[in-house]
Amino acid sequence: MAFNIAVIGFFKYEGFLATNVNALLGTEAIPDLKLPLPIGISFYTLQALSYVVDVYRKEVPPQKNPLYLGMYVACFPQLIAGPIVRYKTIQDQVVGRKETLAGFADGMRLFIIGLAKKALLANTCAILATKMLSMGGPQIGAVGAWAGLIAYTFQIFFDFSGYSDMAIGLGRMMGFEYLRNFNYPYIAKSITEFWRRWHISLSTFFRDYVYIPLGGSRCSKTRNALNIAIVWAITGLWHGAAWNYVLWGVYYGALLICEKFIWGKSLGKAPAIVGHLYTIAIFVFGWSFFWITDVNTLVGFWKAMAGRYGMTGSSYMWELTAWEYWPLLLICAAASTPVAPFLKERLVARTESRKPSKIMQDGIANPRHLSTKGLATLEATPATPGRARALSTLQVIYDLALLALLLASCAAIVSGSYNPFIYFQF
Amino acid sequence: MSFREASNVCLVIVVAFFLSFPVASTMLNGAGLWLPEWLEVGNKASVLEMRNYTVLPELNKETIASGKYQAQYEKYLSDHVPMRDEVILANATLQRILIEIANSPKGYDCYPTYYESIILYTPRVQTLFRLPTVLDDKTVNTAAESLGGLQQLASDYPNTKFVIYIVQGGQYASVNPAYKYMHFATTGKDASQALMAPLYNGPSNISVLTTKCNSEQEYYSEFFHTDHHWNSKGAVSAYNAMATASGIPPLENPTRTDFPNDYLIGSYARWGLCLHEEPIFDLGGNGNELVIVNPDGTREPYTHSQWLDSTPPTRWYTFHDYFYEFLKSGSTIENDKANGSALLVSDSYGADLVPMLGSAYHNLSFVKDMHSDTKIDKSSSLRALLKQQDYDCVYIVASCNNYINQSKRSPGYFK
Repeated sequence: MAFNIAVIGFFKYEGFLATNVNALLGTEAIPDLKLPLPIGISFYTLQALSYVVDVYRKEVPPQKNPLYLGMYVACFPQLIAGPIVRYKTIQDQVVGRKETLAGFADGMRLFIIGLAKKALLANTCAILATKMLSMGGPQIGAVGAWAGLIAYTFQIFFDFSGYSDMAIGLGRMMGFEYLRNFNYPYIAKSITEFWRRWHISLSTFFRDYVYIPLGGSRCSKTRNALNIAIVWAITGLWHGAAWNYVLWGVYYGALLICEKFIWGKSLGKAPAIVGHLYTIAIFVFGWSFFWITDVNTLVGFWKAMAGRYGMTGSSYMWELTAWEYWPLLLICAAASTPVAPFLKERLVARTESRKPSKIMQDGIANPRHLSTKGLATLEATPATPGRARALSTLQVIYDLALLALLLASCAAIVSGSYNPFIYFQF
Repeated sequence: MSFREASNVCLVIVVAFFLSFPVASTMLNGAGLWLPEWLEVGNKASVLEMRNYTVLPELNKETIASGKYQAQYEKYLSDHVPMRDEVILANATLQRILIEIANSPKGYDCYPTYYESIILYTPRVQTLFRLPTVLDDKTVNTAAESLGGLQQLASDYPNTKFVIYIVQGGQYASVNPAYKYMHFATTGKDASQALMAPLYNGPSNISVLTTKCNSEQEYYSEFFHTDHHWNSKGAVSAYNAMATASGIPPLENPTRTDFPNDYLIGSYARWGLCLHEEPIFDLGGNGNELVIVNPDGTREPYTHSQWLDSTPPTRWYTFHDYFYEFLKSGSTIENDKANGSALLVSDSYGADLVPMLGSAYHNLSFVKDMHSDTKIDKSSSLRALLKQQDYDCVYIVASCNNYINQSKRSPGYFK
């Protein structure tokens, strides 16, 4: 454990430590080595740590074959950007997985969905977010600030969940059944629920390996609150070696403490819309810590959000820029809710002349539902030839739609490398 | 095999083929195997992007360790995707449709495109405008004060004519429809007027000129739809205005040649890709007697057709690319059939004027000091240039923005 933590500590936090200690002491006591960060170190280090602890706790037998162990730690789909896969969830699959055509095809479908999320939604939202968030609060005013932050909210979700879907899809193609990493976090009705739906593999990791060993909630309220604060400070620091990330972690830690001890029960009794709006406001605002690293810029941005510079800021030229993105933001809003799987299930159920299954709704409603089965497939058991034909048609349409998504995603990626010789700026 | 199994097989085959195709076709092409032309990936240059494609990187320890090999290999793969141009154009078309849908409720007649929107697309006239540059009064006044130093310079060189041309292109065009959305007092037209004002009452050997376009139609007869530069006609208009001011013969009824070559269609605007075709013509036949003397003393004749065969193939249908791309700052253009000497200090707008001005003088010195990316010595100035040689006329040609940038980079440049 010490070795794993030392490795990530050295490569990821040496510079941060050096900068802050030197600033504190007013000397150059610790040299900043400006080390390149090994790609994916934050993820595979946690995976390795989870394996060590699980073996220690005798929750899993140790893997004697170094190749299998190496495959678990360094399996390429989730190596760089997660999800953080626990050994106990795939220990049987390491040796005994079955690669099937159906699994391969389903994995491919999920990969295409993930690619589309990343290439079409996340990358385009990134353009609007970058433009708005880098203009400065006084220029864009309240509307521009919130529009930029909402665009960033979608960017970060589709970027991350897109990568997760691609990783899970690739894993499925190789016979691995990874657990879900995002379960529609933006429909949460509280921050507690939000963190059960967002980056599930990370939050469960810190729950099982930091929070519970510290005592979890089986202690005094004060100690419980302290445990939450420690876990979230570490969570923030894990996201990046900078104070804005620590601040982000502390922000959520404080809110989780408040929900647990102060207003959680009242929130639970309030109408669902109140919970939704409350949660949306909090996580949208929270992303501002992620984006803006300079304190002065952050404060200026918050002022803009609060309307300090008016609704449109000093120039509403940005409006021309931002206006063209409203269809995209609508699509993103819809895509971040379970509208698509609900419609899919209804369509399939209608084809089969049965009632829509509650499994999908329950799976989405229950944040702890982690299976990824059915994410990208049209599940059905048609009983009559008529239903079989209808379902076949649906399958063809669905696959054609996925191919169109794949084409559009690849076109977007190729166009992103469009790099003409330009001298327009002269 | 059930239908579901069949659909799985089809999906896997199609996707696997699609994703492996770029690499496979590159390998097949490299192996010299025949491929249909539309699948060939061995093109050296991109017509759409007006650049050479990335070549395979050199594999050695240094390039691997520095990451240069990996980065260049990725660019190589991106550049060699089959039907790359068609894919980019298809994506641009889709974006344009989405932009039109997005802007229909507001009825905007101009709006930015995707991809780092600084260029505006006007569906009504199929045009691109740059986003109007907001100029505050302090910036403009400071630049005007700097430019006003020409009064003293002109007084010190009474036998030299000074012709200052302020180009109103793109984001400074007074006909830019985006101005209606601005609520800043200082716009392109105001800025150019502010820059010129200090020189109106100066010495008589100063002439101050600017673009005069009273309508979009007039503007687009002289400027590109897809870029902020003037086209050949616009360059001739500017030249004739300057010729009148400096007393050299104007260019009347220039010979125009139509080029059917696709390479010469002007639409390289990266962020617009508005797919608009420019009229393709060239002012051929001028400047064939010119000799270019490079800063190192080497001499080469200017051959007008040279740029037609250049690699990458040039997109512009004027001599713009040749003189912008290849003519070095500090060069001199010589013409034995003319008299007099002149100095041209300009940004990219001046490139089009080189053959015309070069034809009017025995020697024309060309300096790119007005480029915004030129690393200019802060101590450099027009006065230093004038000390090197006597000139009959000094032409200063640049956009509004570059006059302002110049005054920031080198406040004493015009004094």
